[in-house]
Amino acid sequence: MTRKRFNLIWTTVLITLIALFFLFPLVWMITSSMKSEAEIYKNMTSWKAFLPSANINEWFGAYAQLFKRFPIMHYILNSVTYALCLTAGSLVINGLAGYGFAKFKFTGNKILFSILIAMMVIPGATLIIQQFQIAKNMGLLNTILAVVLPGMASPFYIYMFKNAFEAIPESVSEAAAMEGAGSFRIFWNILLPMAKPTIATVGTLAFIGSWNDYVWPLMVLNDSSQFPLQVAITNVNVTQPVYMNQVMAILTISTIPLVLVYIFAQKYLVQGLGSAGNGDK
Amino acid sequence: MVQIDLEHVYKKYEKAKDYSVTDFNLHINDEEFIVFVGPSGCGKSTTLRMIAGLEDISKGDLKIGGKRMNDLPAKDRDIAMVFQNYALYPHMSVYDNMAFGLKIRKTPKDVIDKKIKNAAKVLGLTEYLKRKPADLSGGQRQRVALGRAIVRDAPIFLMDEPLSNLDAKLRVSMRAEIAKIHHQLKTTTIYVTHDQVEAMTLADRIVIMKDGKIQQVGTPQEVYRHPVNVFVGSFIGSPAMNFCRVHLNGDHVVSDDGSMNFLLPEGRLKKLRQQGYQGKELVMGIRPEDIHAEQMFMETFPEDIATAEVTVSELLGAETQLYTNIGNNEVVCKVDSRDYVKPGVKVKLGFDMNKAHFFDPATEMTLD
Repeated sequence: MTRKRFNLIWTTVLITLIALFFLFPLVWMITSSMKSEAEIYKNMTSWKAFLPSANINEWFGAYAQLFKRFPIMHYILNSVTYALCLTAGSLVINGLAGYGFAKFKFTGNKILFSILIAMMVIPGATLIIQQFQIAKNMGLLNTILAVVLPGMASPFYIYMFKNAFEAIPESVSEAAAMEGAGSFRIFWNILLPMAKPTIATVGTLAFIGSWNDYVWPLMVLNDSSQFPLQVAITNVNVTQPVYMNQVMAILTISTIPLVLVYIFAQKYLVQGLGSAGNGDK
Repeated sequence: MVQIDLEHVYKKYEKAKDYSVTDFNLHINDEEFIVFVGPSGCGKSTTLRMIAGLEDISKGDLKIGGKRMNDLPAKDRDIAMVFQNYALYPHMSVYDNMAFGLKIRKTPKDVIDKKIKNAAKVLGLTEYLKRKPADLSGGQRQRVALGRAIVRDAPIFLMDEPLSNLDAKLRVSMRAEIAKIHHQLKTTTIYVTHDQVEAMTLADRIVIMKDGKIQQVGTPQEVYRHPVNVFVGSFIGSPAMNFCRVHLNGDHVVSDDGSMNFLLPEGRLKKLRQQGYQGKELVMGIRPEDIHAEQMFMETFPEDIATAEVTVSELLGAETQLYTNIGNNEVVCKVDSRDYVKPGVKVKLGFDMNKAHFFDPATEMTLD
């Protein structure tokens, strides 16, 4: 066996093992949602834990029960609304900020950007109390704005947009200016469409971030009808009686959009994050 | 009617020690084709960008049609510009690229359509209108950039080395195309290039620049025939003018090593003497085509001959370029292809002293 072939085999084995390691909780979650409560506990110690119920009629029983007991569609709608608003806002705000840093010379440009980058090292959790105070003082609590606004601006996304815009030759925006386009039109009609890979990356990351967020919506929302799916999971998990197959069902539901996003936007996620340092597209 | 006036224009970049453009004065007439030419870093592009409004003017006035434009942003100057790297919008089709400026000006759709179709016809782009710039060749892209400028009907065209990114053959054909377009539209055009052939073939007037200063402004013939200083003489013309240091001894000019000793015609001698150069050092410049190898010439001017050793000879078809050493001086001459000789051979060359140029060795300014 040649060395090259040996390398190929053992990297394949290793990658498969790692993939299995990450996949098995996911598989267990999905199969557990597709069997009865009793079966979950019965199969817990056998390989059958990774198989759905033998009885096909039981596969979606937990889901039916779940939808009957909780307004799941409502939670999903909330989550989608929050995620879409945050994503759209994030693209506009961070895009504009990145445009400013990349294409305008103003006093303090570099210092301001350094401060922005330095802020990336501050853990979000340390800011959460202050953020809550601000949201409260602004009278935003229990509104969609409270959920969506604080997450929109992000130093990392600004950094990504700045890199993307800097990679576009100056002459393109100059040509647009010569044709009579103002700063905003240059941004909106010329530069933003040219930064599509970055839009895809930032959009995907922002969507995932909002979809997965748990602590912040829990803090700013009191009314359970406004809860996003992640917060609702806690509801399902603590509302007696707690059924493990229903918990697994709602977890599965909450995972589906993320899996879809990863499948369709994986290219941009890898591309965008990989090139964040050099602006190459 | 558009006239452009640059009055005592200076440009200094932030943190730069020296001015990039110094005391630039130029009046550009309506419908004129002006070419800024000079080596890289001479300030020609900077000047163009100041006219465009892409760079601030540090000092002085820019007037277009008599109105001061210094503080007007680029987007409001109504000037069309073609960039070296085309600067097309890659996400838009050729059609949309050309329509962009017109849409901003809220031109009616049918007018836009008509203008673009006309421009596409002139530029041979009709079948490419739906394509994206990435699917076009370099020449086609530059044609789109030209089209984008044409459809605007802007009173002024600025072109910043528009042909530099094209291959040699394409450059020649695009050069002709630009000349044709200017002939048709008669738009006042300022064209920046470092290629003196482009400058000579396109310009109504050439502005030769060096180190941020204008060296000479004139028609191609003027700057070629009457260069005001050594730099202009050396920059315009290919191969470049030959220079050597000579002394005016009696009625002859003699090179330092004595290898060149030429009789000066009456008129030229008189002029140099009047300026007090008798017995003094001069810089003599002579163009390669004013050095002859034909027997006829040597018989007519027997006192203007030097012996040269050929180091390189290039047969270009109709003519031959000989790179020679005369004493310590390197001299290039352009002779008839029948006068081709192999390297290493010694030949006699006749210098047409009526066409020689003389410059002051200290100021390098012309003495003609």
